[in-house]
Amino acid sequence: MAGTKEQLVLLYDPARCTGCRYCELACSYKHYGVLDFGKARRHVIFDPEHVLFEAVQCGHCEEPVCASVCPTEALKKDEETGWVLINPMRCIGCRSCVVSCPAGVPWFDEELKVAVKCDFCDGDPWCAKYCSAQAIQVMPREEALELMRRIYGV
Amino acid sequence: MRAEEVAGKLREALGPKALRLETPTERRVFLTVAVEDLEDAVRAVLGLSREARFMTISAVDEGLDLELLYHVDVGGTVVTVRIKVPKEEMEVLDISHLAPAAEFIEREIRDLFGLEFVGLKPEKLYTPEGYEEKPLKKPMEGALPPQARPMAEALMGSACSVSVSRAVMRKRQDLGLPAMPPMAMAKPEALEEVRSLAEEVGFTERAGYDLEKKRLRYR
Repeated sequence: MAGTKEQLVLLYDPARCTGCRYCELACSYKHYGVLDFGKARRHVIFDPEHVLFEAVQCGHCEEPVCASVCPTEALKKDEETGWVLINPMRCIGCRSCVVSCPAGVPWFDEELKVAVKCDFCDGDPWCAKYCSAQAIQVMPREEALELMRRIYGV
Repeated sequence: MRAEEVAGKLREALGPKALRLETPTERRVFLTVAVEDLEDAVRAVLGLSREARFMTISAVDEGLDLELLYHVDVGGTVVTVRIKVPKEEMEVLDISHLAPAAEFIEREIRDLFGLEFVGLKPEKLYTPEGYEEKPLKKPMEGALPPQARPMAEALMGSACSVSVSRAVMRKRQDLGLPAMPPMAMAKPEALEEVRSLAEEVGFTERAGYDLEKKRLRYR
């Protein structure tokens, strides 16, 4: 079993992001077969105050709040890979995860009637694959945390 | 009250009736019990503290079983009692005499999933009178696709994916051979080993194979 530090996560570097939102299109195409910003499981927003782009994406938290509030254990953290995944067959659409996530990542799919969120594309995230500026990168959690500290100065 | 403390008290109160106790976070406890031990489990959870408060029931249709999750707040820790009701039975004891608020949820589950709560008043809550459909009830289907089901039954029944027919047996006897070829199904101990292996790796549960009736629970 991979340790927590070696588990892969997505790192977003706002300084490299050009705001093309190609990641959102890649995400919606991967999961729904359509090019629709509204169906993407990650979003890029513009922060006019700091003149920077910022991403709303799943951090696959070490202690995910969404999983701890799920009444039916539909949302679980895979201990092996570290990904926080929704089992749509168990989700009852209560939206507890939608309101509890501090980053606002899960959203309720009105057509499927279940909550959906980033599933890490089974290990090959399309958002990172199609990011031409390489603002989204896949890397081990420890390395990502180190870079985040450097980027945000915390 | 923290999850570990709650789990310890429940283990003490229920003994072997607590089939599984999990504490995924420090304020969450999952207790799995058999359907017939539901009342004892809910009584034990509600008796943990004076602050214990029944929250709600979640129902999840898993295809072959209906899972019910009874959530109780015990001083900030959510204790969830989990039972699995096989769809062949679709009957469970009403707990509204222990937690009166459960009555509304149980009536809603009965209307939407068709699960009968023994002792619950018969009035509907959610769907109109005369409407007998169960909108959230899924078909009784397991994980195996239709084309794989006969093979799974043959595998569990004879330890071979293709069983020996009577015609083949006759032909073997005509040729002077024993009716049954030297294979696993000829030896009861080998067959038993295959079955125990299937149970151990979770095949029987995932595929929905009934070891007592020796057939799949769905067609």
